[in-house]
Amino acid sequence: MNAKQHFNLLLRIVIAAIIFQKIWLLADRSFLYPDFMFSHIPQTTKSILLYAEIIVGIGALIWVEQTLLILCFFAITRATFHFGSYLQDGGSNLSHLLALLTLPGLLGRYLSAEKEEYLAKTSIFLMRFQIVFVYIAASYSKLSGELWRSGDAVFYILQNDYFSNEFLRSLVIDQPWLSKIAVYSAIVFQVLFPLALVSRYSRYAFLLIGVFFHIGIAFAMNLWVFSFSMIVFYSILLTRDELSFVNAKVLERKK
Amino acid sequence: MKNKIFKGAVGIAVAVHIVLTMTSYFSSPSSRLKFYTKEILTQSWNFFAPDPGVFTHKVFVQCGEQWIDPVADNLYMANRVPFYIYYARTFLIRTLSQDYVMKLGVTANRMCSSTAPIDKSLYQANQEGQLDFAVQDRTVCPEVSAFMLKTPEYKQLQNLGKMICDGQKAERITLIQKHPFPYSERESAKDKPYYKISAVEL
Repeated sequence: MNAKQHFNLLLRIVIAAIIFQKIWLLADRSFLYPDFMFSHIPQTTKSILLYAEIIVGIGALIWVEQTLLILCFFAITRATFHFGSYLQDGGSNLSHLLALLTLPGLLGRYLSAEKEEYLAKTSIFLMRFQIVFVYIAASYSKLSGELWRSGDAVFYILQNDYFSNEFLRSLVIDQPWLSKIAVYSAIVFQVLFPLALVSRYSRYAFLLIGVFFHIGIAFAMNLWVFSFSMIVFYSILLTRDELSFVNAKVLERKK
Repeated sequence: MKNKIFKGAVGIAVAVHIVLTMTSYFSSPSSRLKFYTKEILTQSWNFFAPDPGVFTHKVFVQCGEQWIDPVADNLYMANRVPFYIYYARTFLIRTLSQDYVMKLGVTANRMCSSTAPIDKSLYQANQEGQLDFAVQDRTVCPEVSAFMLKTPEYKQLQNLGKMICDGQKAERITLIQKHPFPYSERESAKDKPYYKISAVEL
């Protein structure tokens, strides 16, 4: 796999994540995008943009070499993100930032092969940096919060009806020390995540822990789409050789 | 060796430049540039931190004789079905109710002399799965009530109520703010359904 193919694969992953997030929202479109929200945009326009996003997105996924199609998809995505801003979460925010960071790689397609490869690698580097930055910023925020430092944050969060699971809420109320374990584990994981990426084996370990971490968030807080997005974006942190290996294994199974 | 040192120095200089530029951008006052770029460049990774959102804000709508909690079924199903498609409704309702509560609080702090913005008793009984409650009304000062009627937050909640009542105007809309049990009172959380609920009627 060369740099260009690597970049195209990651581009597909970002586009697929955005499409999945939107399809999930589109299933309940009439309630989620009512005419009284962002009423200065006509409802017809909103509907057209929402469906166009999916259709153009699928096209961008298939014809990932068509740069204008991808740029058109990103432009529509920005518009729907704007008038659906109340529906966004960390996963959609990250998706849009990663989409922005693919621009150097897309620009490189109009330049020489050497510059295209360089810009593809630049995009990949920026996307990786963005994901790592998420954990840096999140750990900094947590360490700034009194409830997080005391270990009680999960005890309180699980009392929020929107972000809790009945079983886990009663479990944490009965055994409040579980909150402390959950809180300190999350903080340690996020603080050490950037450092763990330096070595291959610690990277594998932390990515695996991260998968379980986000599955745990999904179960505990009903944030399935966000957690799914984060897990999928872990593929951006894999090297080209590792992705080639996975790709080869997938193709082997298909045969 | 010299080449490596040079490249390292350039790398550090570029990194410092990026950090300084972004810091100045995000700490600068609002401007036209910021208006057009903030949505693209916004990084908001304070997931429930530093202060987790511990209050539950809900809307109860009276359609005819019946009171409806529009998120009750969604939350019940979301706990059982992964990727439950109607869970996203809670995002909208939570946003509208939180926006109204915040606006009310800010306005009351500014306009009312001594009245707390939200401090009402709400009796809530769950009888055979139906919510039935009486609100002991203690309104905020009249200036705030009159002001809130003209706000976009109020109008959006009225529209939400109409949507929930299938196109009919809602008889009454009540916002509640459910308070979490403090950690020091966690023992009482095992017996009581809730610690404290504040409410305001639109």
